[in-house]
Amino acid sequence: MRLIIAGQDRSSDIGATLSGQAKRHQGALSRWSPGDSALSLKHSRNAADYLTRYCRLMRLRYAVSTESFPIPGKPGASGSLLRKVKGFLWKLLRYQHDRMAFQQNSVNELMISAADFQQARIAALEQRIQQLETDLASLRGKDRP
Amino acid sequence: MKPGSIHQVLAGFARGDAISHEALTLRSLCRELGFASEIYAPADRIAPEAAGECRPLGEYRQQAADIAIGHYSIASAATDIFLASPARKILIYHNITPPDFFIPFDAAIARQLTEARQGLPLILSRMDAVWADSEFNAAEAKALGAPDAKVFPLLFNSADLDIPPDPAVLAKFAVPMKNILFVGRIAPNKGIEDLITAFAWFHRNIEPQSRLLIVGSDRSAPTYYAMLKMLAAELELDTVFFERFASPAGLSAYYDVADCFVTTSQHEGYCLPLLEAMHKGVPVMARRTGGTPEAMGNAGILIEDFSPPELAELMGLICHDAPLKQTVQASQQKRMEAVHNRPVKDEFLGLLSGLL
Repeated sequence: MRLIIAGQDRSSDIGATLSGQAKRHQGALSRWSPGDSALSLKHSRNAADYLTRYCRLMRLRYAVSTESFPIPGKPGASGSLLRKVKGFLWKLLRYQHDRMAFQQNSVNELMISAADFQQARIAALEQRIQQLETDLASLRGKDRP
Repeated sequence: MKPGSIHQVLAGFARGDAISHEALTLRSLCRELGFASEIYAPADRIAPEAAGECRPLGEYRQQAADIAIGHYSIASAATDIFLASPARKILIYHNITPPDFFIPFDAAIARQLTEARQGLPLILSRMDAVWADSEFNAAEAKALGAPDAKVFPLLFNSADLDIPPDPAVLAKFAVPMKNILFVGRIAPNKGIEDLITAFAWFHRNIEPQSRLLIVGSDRSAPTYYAMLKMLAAELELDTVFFERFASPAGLSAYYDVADCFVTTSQHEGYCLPLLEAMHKGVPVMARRTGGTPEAMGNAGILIEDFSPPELAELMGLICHDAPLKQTVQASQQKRMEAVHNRPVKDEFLGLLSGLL
């Protein structure tokens, strides 16, 4: 990396140290493959392609997860105790949030289906406009002397 | 012949926008110098909250002896009105974002940007003077047909930031955490995805008690904004806050709570938020691109050819290394002294001298 701090080129000392430290950041940040990552939207060819890709990514992501996760907390004994309390509450309330997640997932799926229907309708209309424009162009061609 | 008026024509007007900010500062300067001065923009491109500061383009009238200043960064109806004006014309070139950034997200804007670039040589040839707000932009203008383009660096007026911060914003972020701040339009050329990715490493491995605050309008490219929201969710970053447009008091508060300001923008004509952050004493890190080195001067931190983990480490360094932070802040203070002591009136009159 090239690093200029307060007008001084510090690439060879601070920059090199940071590059060395950066190697500790291992593993994947996202559980999605590059093709299914949000960043794949940057490769859209146009607005229609973007919408198709976006709807596909949305379908992959509609569900609210109720899987266990590492509970964040502050260091020290009090932080550890608080983490345990939070973990216990999470397990205790599982019957409640699983039910809510099910309801939310049902709503999400209905919304995504509605978006899919709309997308199909838009695609059909766009195709029809394109066909009409082609027909119009050929009619105009016939009218010319 | 002394002009009676110096009016400005813009493609759009909104609070928080860098070109609108410059137009307001320039209008104050013109009025101070005794000229009648107004700002005009297409009526449908004037943000409602800023309507009192800008007049609809339909009301624009000037005489041949007057001076019209056109701010140019995108093709718009304002350009045609500006070109048709009988007044002597100055174009301030603010750079045109390369259209490729917008192609995946907004074809209409990409088309406007392409038209703006294609139309620029003809527009430049019809100007009485061409100014650019950075050396970088002046070099582009010269290459496109304005060999005499002069540099008039973007004007910075700190008045909007020197106000009490919005207490609601301060309360929202009252729990002490390391706050990384970005201010700017949410647009594809800003490279915000790189910042979010770097922040993900920073948050996961360096400073879990941290937030990323992204402050700026999402109206430029809502599809790009949607991508960023999806990315933050994908990386399970529940401390990334998209704060959208901020009032002056809100902006003042965001700078007050920030531990450092970071921009990974890939294309900038100048980048006004760098000066805002420096003015508020926030350490600044910016990708070295376009006009950013000019805005930074010999201050802050410029980065180039970096990976997201390297940027994460740099964020960690500036948040935790107090002597380095002080060195950076001292350089920024010096830079801001130069900005505040800039002889703007003399510069402006010097540039105008050929037309007065």
